[in-house]
Amino acid sequence: MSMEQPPRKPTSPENVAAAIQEIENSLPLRMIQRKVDQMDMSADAKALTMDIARMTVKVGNQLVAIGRKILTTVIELAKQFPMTSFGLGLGVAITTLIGTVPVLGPFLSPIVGPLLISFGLTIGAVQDYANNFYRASIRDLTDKVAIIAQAMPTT
Amino acid sequence: MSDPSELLHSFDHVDCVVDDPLRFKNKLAIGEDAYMSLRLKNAVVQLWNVYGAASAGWTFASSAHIAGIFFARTGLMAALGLGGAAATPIGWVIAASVVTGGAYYGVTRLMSGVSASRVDVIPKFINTPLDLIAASLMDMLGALSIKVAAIDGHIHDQEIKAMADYFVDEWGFNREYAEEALSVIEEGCRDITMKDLTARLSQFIVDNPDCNAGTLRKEILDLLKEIAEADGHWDEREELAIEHIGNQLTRDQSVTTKAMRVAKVPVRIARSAGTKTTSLLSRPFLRRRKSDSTD
Repeated sequence: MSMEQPPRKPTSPENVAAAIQEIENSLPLRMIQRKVDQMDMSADAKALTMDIARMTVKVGNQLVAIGRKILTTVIELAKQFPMTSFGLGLGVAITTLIGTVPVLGPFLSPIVGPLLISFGLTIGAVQDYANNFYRASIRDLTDKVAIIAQAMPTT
Repeated sequence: MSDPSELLHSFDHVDCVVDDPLRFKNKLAIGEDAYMSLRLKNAVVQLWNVYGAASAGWTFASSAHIAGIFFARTGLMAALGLGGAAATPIGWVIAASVVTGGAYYGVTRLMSGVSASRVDVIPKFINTPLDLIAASLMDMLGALSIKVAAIDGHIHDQEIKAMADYFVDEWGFNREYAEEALSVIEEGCRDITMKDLTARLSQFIVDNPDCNAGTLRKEILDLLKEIAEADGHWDEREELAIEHIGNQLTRDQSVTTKAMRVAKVPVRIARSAGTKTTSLLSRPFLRRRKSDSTD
């Protein structure tokens, strides 16, 4: 199922600042941990989930907590799609980000394998699900992260 | 028994089940074993180290030095220097490696027990949803406590307070939740016997991958003794009941615990083998957790 994707906003300092501000408004780590504590999944999966939540990237002199944004988005999507497992949602978000924001590859690629294993998923299942409307739901996440990624230093 | 919907509404003012998650997880005494990855890692490292110790014993026993001391060849040929080199019999070499490997395993087990008595290892996460395992434990431990307290014919206020204080101070439960839950449990556990409760509690702490059955057994007995002493009277019936519960817990766990641990797969839901009040205790918070995500 293909979807028309609206053109992404060019990276201007205002766009970067707005993206950073929105990311900073994500759930705090403490709140994410409380929600993860209540989830029905293995301790290893929860630990990997919090590892993702703690991920940050440096933009200029500022640390941007993209991990918190990813987790906040997936938690909110889990409400919208209650029949979708949290693990599947997180797997879709991570693999979509790797595919659309290549600069994040070194940060996210090492965690994809262990994450999918701990959730009992295969990359095929994740990609199959990512072709559905779920991908559209994480469009905002990929847009914000792409803006941040473009502002990251290339070295 | 009161109408279940009324009982549910009694929790409306309660915000959460556990105020102090770290204290709760510490009480489970599961440590690194909460993580299957760490269990596997520790098992592999232990096997590797035992193999290393056994190999060292093998090498030492089969060395020419040891062979020359204990298994030197005798006779005219040996005296003339024409006999073959001394060699340790293979049986002795195998025995030496088994002894060194076993000694290493025994010493490390002893030292880990010493460490455990001095240092608590608290996992950041457990496999079961926190509120669910907390409500289940409250259900069963609370019911057992109330049964023991009621043995002398009357549940004293000091006993109820001692139970609430225990769950709050030791386990990190929310006080309002603990007090409401105990009043619900007091109504709900009238139709169940102490023996059934003990059996269900024992089954639960063995089945659940986040519970250290041995440590929790001691915790349960300590709690029951504290409850029995709370009213200032030490009733012999309470003492006998606690002793019987301890014996039943030991009997239920001694044969099954190790086998369950070896073959354990994560139990996704802490299905309470306890009273029907568990569903009442956990329902408001499971529902609230779903609506929390809209905040």
